[in-house]
Amino acid sequence: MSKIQIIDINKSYGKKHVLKNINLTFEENKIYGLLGRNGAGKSTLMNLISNREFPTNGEITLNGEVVTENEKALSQIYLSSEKSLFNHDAKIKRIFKTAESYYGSFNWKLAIEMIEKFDVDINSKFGKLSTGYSSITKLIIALCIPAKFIFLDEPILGLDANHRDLFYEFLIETYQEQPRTFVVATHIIEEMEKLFEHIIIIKDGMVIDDVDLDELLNSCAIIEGSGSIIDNFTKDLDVYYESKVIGMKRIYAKNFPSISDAPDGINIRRMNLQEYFVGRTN
Amino acid sequence: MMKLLPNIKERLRRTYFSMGNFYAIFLTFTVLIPVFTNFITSNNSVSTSVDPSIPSFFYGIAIGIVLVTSGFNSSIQFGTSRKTIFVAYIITTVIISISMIVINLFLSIGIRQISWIKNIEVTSAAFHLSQYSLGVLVFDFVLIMIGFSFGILIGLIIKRVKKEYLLIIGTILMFTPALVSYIVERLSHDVQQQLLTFISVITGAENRNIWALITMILVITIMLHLGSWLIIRRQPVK
Amino acid sequence: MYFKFDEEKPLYLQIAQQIEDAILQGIYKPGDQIPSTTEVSKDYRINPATVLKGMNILVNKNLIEKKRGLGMFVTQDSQTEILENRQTNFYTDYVLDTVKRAQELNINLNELQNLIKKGYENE
Repeated sequence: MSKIQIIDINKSYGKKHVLKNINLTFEENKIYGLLGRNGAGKSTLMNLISNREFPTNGEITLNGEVVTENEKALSQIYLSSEKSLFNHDAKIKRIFKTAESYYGSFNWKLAIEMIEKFDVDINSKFGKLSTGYSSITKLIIALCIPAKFIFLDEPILGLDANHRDLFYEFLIETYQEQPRTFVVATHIIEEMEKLFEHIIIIKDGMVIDDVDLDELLNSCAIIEGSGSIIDNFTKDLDVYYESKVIGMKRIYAKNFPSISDAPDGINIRRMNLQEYFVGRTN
Repeated sequence: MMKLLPNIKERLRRTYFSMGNFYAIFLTFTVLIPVFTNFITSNNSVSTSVDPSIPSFFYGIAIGIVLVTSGFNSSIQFGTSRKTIFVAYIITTVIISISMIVINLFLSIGIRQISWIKNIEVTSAAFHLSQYSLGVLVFDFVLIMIGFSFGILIGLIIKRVKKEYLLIIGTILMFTPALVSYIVERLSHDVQQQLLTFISVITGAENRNIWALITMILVITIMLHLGSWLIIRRQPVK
Repeated sequence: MYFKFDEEKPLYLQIAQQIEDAILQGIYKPGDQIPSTTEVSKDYRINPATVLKGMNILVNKNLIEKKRGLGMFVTQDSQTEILENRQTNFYTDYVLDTVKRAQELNINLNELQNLIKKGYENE
């Protein structure tokens, strides 16, 4: 089973300790959601995995081999980041051909389908593209190269609703046709939530959640109620966040038992990933 | 080093293209315009003898910088190791340098053959020899190579060093010649003579030995590449 | 006092339920092919593994079957099975709730029975 392992990774810039003792595993053929607030360390982590930066401590391996400066491992790992590293003078067509020469193959069938559906002009220069089309071009490349672990950092930046739908369709289709691992780092949680199988949440440079999404949401609950009633009810629960809603308190609880007795005036419901995330990282 | 070949192909593709630009501009100003002037005035009064060596040297610096500032990032994007990128730089610059001296050679021979171009020559070498010899060819080659190695090192320094420090470094570099001459003037006459002799020996001026000069340039080139390697091996892409 | 999670069930269970509903309503008749995992994933933007999990629940209940190389098909007895199942669960799923609410509103058994009768007559 192919997998990427992040082992005791630390990254500091001078005195700033940005990633602290990160330990993670990315398994093959899964869709991961990598979540975290701005500055939490998601991009840095992905930069380390894709050999753009060097860890201060620790190592990253693919099937046991260290990834850093290792071209064999790196041919299976790809990061499509917010910052484009492509030559701004190059035409899109040329960038695709360059990708093909680096990776040995390129899924032209899928690329052509995507070019048509997204209405991309492959003769435009990369530097002249709008944010949306820059994202689309990067996505096409990410989906058409033969790497087994694809990291997407904010892939839908600048995409309008229709294009976002198209992206999800292509992602699902290619995921079924050629199973591989996609790790999506995003703030657009609500839209993408149902695509994730496994969730990793990073806060202040540390992993605070690394869990199967179903398991997570099955074990959490939002409890709403007023004043003392709710305090009494939740006093023995694993509460991780509280907020106030009109006249009521809203309690976010983890490890919630699936059935229990609840007094009048209490409303209990499942939460979605976005709600979980906001409470968890506040 | 599995990504070496695609890297080299990509670098060469882009560099040959800019090389075409270079020669187009060079020939326009040094050959076409004088020829045109002669043609118009029809008295062949313009007489030029141009040497592509020095312009090629500066071209090497410029392209060296461009190789690093625009090529590095996309190589990393496609999974190339820094070691491979560095080796690709060296191989590319060798191929381009050889290409350029071959082109320069053909230019000088070719232009001489064109009978209606009068009084206009393309030559080579700082020694103003209008005949090619092996030494001169090799000299031209290492001249372009050192240009590239300067360019690559400068490009890497620009990428690595914070903007504020770049300003400081630039200022220091500007004042270095003045500083050096100030120090040299303060030396005793004997020491100055020894210094002069030393320089003329290693540059081959003393014995008119072009190979000494070539060796010195090669040594400096290797040192520059070493410096570049030290920077590139931990060069991050943020 | 009895409660259960408000509306949202795990996604894969919801998928299983929706397909069951469709079979019950005759949208997919016995022998019909149901949409593939990929189609359902794309339509609702759901991870294919989740969709498969939901469908497998129905496969295990023998309501749909996998035909190699062709896809998922509704089994012959599925409609009746679902009907019977839901009839059995009707008491726990709906009746208890209704009784509880009626009691909260001080509606006694007789009054409730009259209301139910009225509901049937309205059809």
